[in-house]
Amino acid sequence: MTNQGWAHLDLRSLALFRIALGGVLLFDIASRFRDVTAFFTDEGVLPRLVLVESNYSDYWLDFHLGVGTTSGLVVLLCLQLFLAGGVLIGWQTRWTTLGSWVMLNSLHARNPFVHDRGDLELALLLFWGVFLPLGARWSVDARRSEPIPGSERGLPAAAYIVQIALVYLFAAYLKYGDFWLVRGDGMYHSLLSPLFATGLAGWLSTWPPTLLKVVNYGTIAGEYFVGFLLLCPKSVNLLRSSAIVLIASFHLGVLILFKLGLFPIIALVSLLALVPQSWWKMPPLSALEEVLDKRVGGEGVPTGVGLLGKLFVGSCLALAILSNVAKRPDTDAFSRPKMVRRLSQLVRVEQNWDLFSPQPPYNGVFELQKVDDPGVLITIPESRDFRNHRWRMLMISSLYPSFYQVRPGLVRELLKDQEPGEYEYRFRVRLTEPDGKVGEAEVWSLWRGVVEE
Amino acid sequence: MVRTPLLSLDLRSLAIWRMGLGGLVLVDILLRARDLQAFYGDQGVLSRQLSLSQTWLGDPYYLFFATGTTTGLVILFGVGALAAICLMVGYRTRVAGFACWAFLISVQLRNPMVINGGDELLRVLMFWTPFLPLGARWSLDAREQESWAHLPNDYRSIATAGIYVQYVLFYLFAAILKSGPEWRQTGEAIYYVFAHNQYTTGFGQRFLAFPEQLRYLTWMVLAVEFLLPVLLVVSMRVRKARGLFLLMAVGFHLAIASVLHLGLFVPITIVCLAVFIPGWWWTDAEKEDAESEVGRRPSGYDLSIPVQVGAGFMIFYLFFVNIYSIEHHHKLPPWAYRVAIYTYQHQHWHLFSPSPNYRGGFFRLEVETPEGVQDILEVEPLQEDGQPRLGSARFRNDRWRRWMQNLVEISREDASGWQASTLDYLLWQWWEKHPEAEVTRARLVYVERMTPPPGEQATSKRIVLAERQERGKLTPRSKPPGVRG
Repeated sequence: MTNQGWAHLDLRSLALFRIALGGVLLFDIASRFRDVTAFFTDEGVLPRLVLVESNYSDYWLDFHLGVGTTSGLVVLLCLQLFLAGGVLIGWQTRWTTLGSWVMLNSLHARNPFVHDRGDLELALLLFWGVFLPLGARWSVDARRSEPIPGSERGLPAAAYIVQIALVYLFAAYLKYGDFWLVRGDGMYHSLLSPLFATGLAGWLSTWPPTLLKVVNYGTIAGEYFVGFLLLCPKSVNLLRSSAIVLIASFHLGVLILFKLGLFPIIALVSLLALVPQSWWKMPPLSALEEVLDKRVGGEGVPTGVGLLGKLFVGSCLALAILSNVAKRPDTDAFSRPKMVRRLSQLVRVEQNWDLFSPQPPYNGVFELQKVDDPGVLITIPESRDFRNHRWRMLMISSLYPSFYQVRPGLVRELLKDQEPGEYEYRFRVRLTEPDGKVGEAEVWSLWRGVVEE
Repeated sequence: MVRTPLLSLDLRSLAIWRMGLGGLVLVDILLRARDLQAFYGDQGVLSRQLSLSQTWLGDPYYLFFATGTTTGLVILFGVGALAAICLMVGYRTRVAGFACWAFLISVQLRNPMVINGGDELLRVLMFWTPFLPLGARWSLDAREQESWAHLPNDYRSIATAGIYVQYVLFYLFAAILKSGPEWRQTGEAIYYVFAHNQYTTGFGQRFLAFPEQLRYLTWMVLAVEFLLPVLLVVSMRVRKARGLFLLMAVGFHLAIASVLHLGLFVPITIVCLAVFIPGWWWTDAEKEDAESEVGRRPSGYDLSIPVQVGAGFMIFYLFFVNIYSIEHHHKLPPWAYRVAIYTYQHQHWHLFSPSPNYRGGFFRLEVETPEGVQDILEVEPLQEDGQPRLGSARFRNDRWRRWMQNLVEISREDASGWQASTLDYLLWQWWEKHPEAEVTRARLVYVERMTPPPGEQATSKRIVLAERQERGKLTPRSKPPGVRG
């Protein structure tokens, strides 16, 4: 294999990444329609008034706060679909990518409680994608011989590669504490949690503890390893190829073991931009290139990124790195000045890869109990599963005292098809003892009130 | 001499108009930025929390609900300023015009209680900018298209007709809606406008010594407002009438500016008149017809059939809402309301009409301290007799004047929330500068003074709009009102 420079991304890989990114974005936005009233309107779980009165209304520019009706939000989602379509086909690629980034962050800000790290990664991919020539191949822009802003080499490419590496390095870095490092049973407890684990995960949790410890420490080591593979400037083809294969395998494993919505898919899509040049010489990519050249065509020349652009990208990369380094609360080795944190939030590179860490997900189920009729008891996810991943995230968010605002609206939504009356919303959980054993069940009462018709 | 087509405008005048519109939007943004948090932020008098909890909130899209922080507002205002600059220089003119229109609507929706007639005029005129070839002359867009120089200077379309119709309706209905007896019978309208004192300049105040002569001013205002639309229509065929129209309109508005504080109303009305500068003012030389040499035309030059139909409907709509406003103040039938939500072309030219407002007065922000009661409103202090020297000087600027006036003029249950938030905001601002002050009670007071007929004395009435009192000492808030946690 010929050696590819480290800070270099192949234009074909970027185009493939763009198409997949547009596709994921389209799917993500389209999936929001079914819960648009519940999640984003004044009739749902988080009316605008409740949000602006909370501490969570100033995440960013929240254009979805401009209207509170279903029809209004549908219009905004349709706008996002239009922009995502532009990304997919490579039409006005930079502007549609930027527009998608702005609107996606706005949507996240409208209801922060239904989003997860997959959504964060999707937004970051769009952000760094603005500076890459995503439309250089197989795009409307390229076919029209439009100038292709962005650079596939140098700082923009380096920033993208570093960002992907940061995800794994700091996912490992944040697996500290008793579960993941001291006892090595973080993986075991993650597999036990009914909130995220699939049936297969439940079966895996019955494996011998020693084997599960190997998987536990192997996961941490693997995350560090792939991060370093991506950052290593030598033997780029080999090391990057290895990293892609390992990361892809990891996420395929995550996909079958845990219910994490689009997160594994988004992570797999992020790898497409890293596909080295050498892969395009071999099937199936060589065949794909032939088909796309024939059916779509278009070969544009990137115009690069000017000095100001490079300064901006470099600054944002520095903010992203600092954001990750500052996330470890058990050490006081590093804390950022307030201005740095604010800048990081302003450009939306603030990130946290605490994936099932430092504590694994709770081992518990939600209960909705009618107060005057003990026979009416709904347990989620036992008697009834979560409606979808976003409802899962919302209900998990409702566990935290600082997110109490969503509880009344959430309960009313969940009990829409039930008889009115007084209900209690609670969480039955089995916490882990200091010795690693699962303790007795305890009940957390989250909300109690009257649900009307 | 070739006659200019009916309802046509000169491309060069349109260019000047474009620069003026962009400049006005830019100036408006800069002036609004003085009170960014006060009127548009969560720490001001109309936080998003307060807006969302109120009954007047309707269906439109509120762009400025996207943020309540100063940083966020600076970003939104910055985008608006960028659009205004692009419009001024004629860069991506159509997009810039649309963006300016969207910005104006958004910022006016965010706080409708600080807008005046000038804001309305600017907004309704800006609607037409994407449908006019504003970039055809003296623009960055035109620099890239040399063939546009071959376009004839006279331009006519359904959009230019819309501009003419808008101006005719503006002046005509400003006159028609002045239907009260003070305008039509007694002639005392101008007296009451000056005596109301919240708008009057120092120069204008001097005229109060001549109440009889002010009657002539009343008739003159009505006459001018009726005459201007007639002159504008006639000027489409009679050359000299255009010059007379412009001279009269500019003179009229300058005269208003000398006697009344109306914010940007007068600059907006004067600058926007530039659209009617006739072609023969620029040059009398006939342009050789070389339109066939023009390739791609400026955006807004050729309008598609659906756009023309839409513009035609909008002209009908302008007639409708103005005629409707004669009998219905601030109300629209349901279908017209739906159109208004999407186009923001609703309008009502109730400028001191149907009668001038009798309910004058001034505001006080009183705090009780161990030293006694003091008025801490940060404007021109009251005189020793407790009266203002000049009523209009008791407001920080024109936006504050509109806000404070609406605290007393709008009678709905939401108003108490505005009054309380105004007290909180002004008190907090004062406390920032006087953290050591021991305040036991604070009040926002309106000293109402009904304007008496000429020669009679006014009586005053104290109205407490909002009050804060706690046992012991009022505690300065560590955070401004509306900030959580």
